[in-house]
Amino acid sequence: MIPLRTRLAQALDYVWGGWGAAASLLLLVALWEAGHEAYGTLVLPSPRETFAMLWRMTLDGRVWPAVVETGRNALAGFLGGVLVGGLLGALAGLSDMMRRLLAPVSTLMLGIPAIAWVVLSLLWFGGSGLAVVFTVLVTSAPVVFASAAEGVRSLDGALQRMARAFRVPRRVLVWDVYLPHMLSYLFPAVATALALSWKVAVMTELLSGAGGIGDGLATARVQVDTVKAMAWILVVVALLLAVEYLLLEPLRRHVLGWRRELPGAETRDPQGI
Amino acid sequence: MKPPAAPRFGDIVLASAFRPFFLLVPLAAISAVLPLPVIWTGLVGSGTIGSAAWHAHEQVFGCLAAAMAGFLLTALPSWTGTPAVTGRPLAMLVTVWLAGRLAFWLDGVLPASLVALADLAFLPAVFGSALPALAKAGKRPIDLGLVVAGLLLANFWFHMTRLGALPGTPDVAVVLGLDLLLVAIALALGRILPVALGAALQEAGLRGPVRLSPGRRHFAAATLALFAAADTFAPASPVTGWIALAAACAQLDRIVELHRGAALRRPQVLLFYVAQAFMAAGLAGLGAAALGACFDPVGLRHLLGMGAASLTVVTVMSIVSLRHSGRAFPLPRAVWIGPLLIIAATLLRVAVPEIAPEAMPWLGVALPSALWAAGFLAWLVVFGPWLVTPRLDGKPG
Amino acid sequence: MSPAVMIAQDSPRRMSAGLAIDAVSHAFGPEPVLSGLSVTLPAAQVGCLIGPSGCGKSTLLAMIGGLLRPDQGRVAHPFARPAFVFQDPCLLPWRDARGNIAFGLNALPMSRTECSARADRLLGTVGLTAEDGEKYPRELSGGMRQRVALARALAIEPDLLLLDEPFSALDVGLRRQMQALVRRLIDARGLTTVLVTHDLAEAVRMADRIVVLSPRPAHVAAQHDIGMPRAARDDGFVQAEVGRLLADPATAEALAVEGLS
Ligand SMILES: Nc1ncnc2c1ncn2[C@@H]1O[C@H](COP(=O)(O)OP(=O)(O)OP(=O)(O)O)[C@@H](O)[C@H]1O
Ligand SMILES: [Mg+2]
Repeated sequence: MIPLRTRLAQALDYVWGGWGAAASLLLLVALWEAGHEAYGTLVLPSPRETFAMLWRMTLDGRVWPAVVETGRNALAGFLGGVLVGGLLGALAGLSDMMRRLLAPVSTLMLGIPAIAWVVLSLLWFGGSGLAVVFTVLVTSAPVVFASAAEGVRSLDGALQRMARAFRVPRRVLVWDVYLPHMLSYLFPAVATALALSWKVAVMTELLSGAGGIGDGLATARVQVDTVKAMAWILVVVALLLAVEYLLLEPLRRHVLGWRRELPGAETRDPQGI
Repeated sequence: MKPPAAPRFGDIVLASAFRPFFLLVPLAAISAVLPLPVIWTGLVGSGTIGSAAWHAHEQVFGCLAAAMAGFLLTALPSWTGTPAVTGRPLAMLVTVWLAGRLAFWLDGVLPASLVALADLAFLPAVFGSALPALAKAGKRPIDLGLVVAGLLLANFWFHMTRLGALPGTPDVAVVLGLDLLLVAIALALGRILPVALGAALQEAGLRGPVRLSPGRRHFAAATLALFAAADTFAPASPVTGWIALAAACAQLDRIVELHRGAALRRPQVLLFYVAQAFMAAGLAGLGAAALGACFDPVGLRHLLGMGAASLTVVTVMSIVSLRHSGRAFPLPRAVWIGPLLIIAATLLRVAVPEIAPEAMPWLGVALPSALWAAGFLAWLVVFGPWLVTPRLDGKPG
Repeated sequence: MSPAVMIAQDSPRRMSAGLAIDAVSHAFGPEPVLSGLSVTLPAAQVGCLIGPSGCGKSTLLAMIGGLLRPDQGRVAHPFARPAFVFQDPCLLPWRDARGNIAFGLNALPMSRTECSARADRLLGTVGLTAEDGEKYPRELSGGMRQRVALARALAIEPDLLLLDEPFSALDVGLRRQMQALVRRLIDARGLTTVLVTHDLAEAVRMADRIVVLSPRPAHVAAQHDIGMPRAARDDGFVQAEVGRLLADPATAEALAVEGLS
C-alpha cells in the first residue's frame, strides 16, 4: 500500500498542476481580450463583462438549475450509452457470432453525425429531456462498444494463462487480471464518451428548447445578446474542465498509473554551473 | 629558477569574471539606493533628472547587469568549454562598467550624451565577450544570449528617450529591462536548479532523481517574454493584465518541482522558491492592477525587482561563489543573513504604500533602503573573502 | 480444478514419485508438434529440455504444468505446487515488481504482511533493490523482468519448478549468478525442476538428466544422465562434458551441429 504521506504529496502535486492549466487558459483569455479590443462588444464581449454577466446570472438563480438539467440529461444518456455499449461490446468480444452481427452496426452508428440524431430524436420525442438523453445515448454507445469488445476479446491471453499456472483464486483473477485489463481498454473510451455527452447534450437542448444550458444559449441568440451567449459558453467550458480535471484525470492517474512514462525521460541532463 | 611567488591580489580577483563583478554588485546595490532616503524624506530637493528613473536604471542596468555579467561570463565558458574572460580583458570590462556608474553619478554635471555613451558601452562589451561561447553551435545558451541582446536594446532605448531621439519614456524602457531580466532568470534557473536541488536532496538525506521538466521551464520563460513584450507595447491594457496573470501562474506551476520534503528547506532551494513566489505575486498584482484592482504598480515592480530578481541574484551569487572557488555544498549558515534582510526590505517597500501611504518616506523608503544595504553588506562579509582568495582546489578560475 | 491436478491424481504412483511423460502427442493444427514423446524424471532431480527452436519445448512444459492437455498420452506427477517461469516474463503491467512477485502468493493462505515480507526477501535474492521493487514492468529492463518472473516463481515455494529459458536475457555474470542461485535452491529444497534451454553448457551445469528433442514433430532424440554432483562441476568438467555430448551423433544431429563434430 502507498503511504498516506506519499498520496497527500501526489494530491498536492496534482492540484498544483492546476497553475499550469490556469496559465494556459489565462493566455487564451488574453487573446479573447485582444479580440474584444479589436472588434468590440457586439462581436466579442470582454472577458470581464462576461464574467460579471455570469455572476449576475448565477445570483439570479438561472445558471444552477440549467446546469443541473443539462447534467442530468447528459449523465443519464452517458450512463445508458456506457451500459448499452459496454454490454453489447462484451457480448461481441465473447461470441464471434455477436461480433459479426454487431460490429458493422456499431461502425455505422459511429458514422452518423450527432446532428442527424438530434433531428431524429426531436421528431420522435419532441422537445423533451428524453430527446437529449436519447441523442447522448446513441452517440456515446458506439464509442464504448468497440473498446469493450476489444478488451473482452483480448482477455484470454498470456496473462490469464500465467494466472492459471499460479492457481490464484477466481477473485484475484477477476480483480487483478481481468479488471485492470478491461479498464485499460475501457477507460479512454468512457472518458471520450463523457466529454462527448456534454457537448451533444447542449447541442440537442439548443435545437430542441428542452431547457438547460443549450436553451439559455438559444435565448441569448434570439436576443442577440453576445455577452449572455458568451457567459453560457463559459458555463459549458467550466463544466467540461471540471469534469476533466476533477474527475477524469485523477481517475486516470489512479487507474492507469502503471502506464506512467519512464522517469526522467523528458529531462535533459543538466551540465551544472 | 625563482620559487613561485604568492599570487598577487589583482591576479586572484581577475582569475574569473564572477570575482570582480560579485565584489562590485553589493556596492552597486547600495549606491543605487543611497540618494533615495535623502530625496524621499525631503531633507534635500530632488535631483535634476527623475529620481525614480535614475534609481531604477542603476538597479537594473548597474547592479543586476553586473551580477548577470559575472554569472554569464563564468558560466557560459564552463557550459560550452570555451576560454573564459580573465586578466586584462576582464579588467577592461570592469573599468567600462565603473565608467558607466561614475557617469550616472555625475549625470547633470556631464552632458547627457556622454553619460549615455559611457553607460551604453558595458552591455555590448559583455555580449562581445560572451560571443565565443554563444557562437559555439550545439549547446543551448542561445536563449540567454538573446535576452542579453534584448537588455542591450532596452538600455539603448532608455538613453535615446532621454536624449529625445526615440519615442517613449525612460520609465517604460527600464521596466522592459527588468522584465527581460526576469526572463533571463527563468532561463538561468533551468541550469542552476538541478545543481542546487541535487545538493539539497543530498544534504537532506533524500534519494531520488532531480526531475525538472524543460517544458515547465520553457513555459515559464515564454510567458515572461510575452509579458515583457505586452508590458512594453501596451502597459496599461487589460490584455497585458491577463498575460501577467498567466505568467504568474506559469511561475507557480514551475516551483512544484521544488516540493521535495526536507530538501526544500535548504537555503539553495528555499531562497529560489521564495523568489519565485515573489515573482508570481508581483506579476499577479500587476495583472490585477491592469484589470482594475487598485494596487500601487511601483510597489509591485519592487516586488519583482527586489523580491524576485535580487533575491535570485544573491542566491545565484552565493552558489557560484561557493562552487567556482572550489568549495563543495553545503552553503555556510551565514548565507541566510543577506537574503533575509533583503526579504524584509522587500516586504516593507511593497506593503507600506498599500497599508500606510503616509509613512512612506521613513518606513517605505529609508528603512527598506537601510535593510537592503545591510543585506548586501552581509553578503559581502560572508562571501567576499572567497572572492579575493585563490580557488581551494588549485584549479584556474 | 486444473487439469494437472486431475492428471496427477489419476496417475499410477509407481515411478518413484517423479515426473512421467508417457507417449505424449499433440498438434495445434494439422502438423503435429509432439509425437509419441516419453520422458521420466525422478523427484528432486533437474531435467533439461534442449532442442531446436520451435520443436515444442514450451508446449511440453505447459503440459507438465497442467496448462495444456495432450491430445494423446499422459503426463503424471505427484506435485501439488508447480511454479512457472515463462519464456516471456508475463508480468502484470499494472503491478509493480513487488506486487508481481507476490502475485502467486494470492493462492496461498497467507497474511498481507507475510506476503510483502516474502516479496521483499525475494527481491533481494534475485539481486534487485527495494527501489526496483516499486517500478512497473515497463520501467524494468528485460533481464530485470526475467528476474522478477523468477522471484515470482520461487515465492510460492514450489515443489516443481518449470523454467522456460529463464536466463536468456541476462549477461554472462548475472546468468552465472542466477544459475548458482537456482542450483542452490534446488539442492537445498530437493526441488524437481524442468529447465528449457538452448545452451548446452547451461544444461550440463544444471541438469541431472539432459533430454535432447528432435526437430518438430518432437520426440526424444537422445538422453544423457550426468552423475557428477552439481557443486563439483567446474568449467573444465562442463567443457569436457559438452564435447562428449556433441560427440554423440543423435545429439549433434538434433541440435543441427554436425558440421562441428
Ligand atoms: N497456441 C498455439 N497455437 C498454434 N500453434 C502453436 C501454439 N503454441 C505453439 N505452437 C506451435 O508449436 C510449435 C512448438 O512451439 P513451442 O513454443 O513449444 O516451441 P519451443 O520449442 O519452445 O521453441 P523456442 O525454443 O523457440 O521457444 C511451434 O511451431 C509453434 O508454432
Ligand atoms: Mg519456447
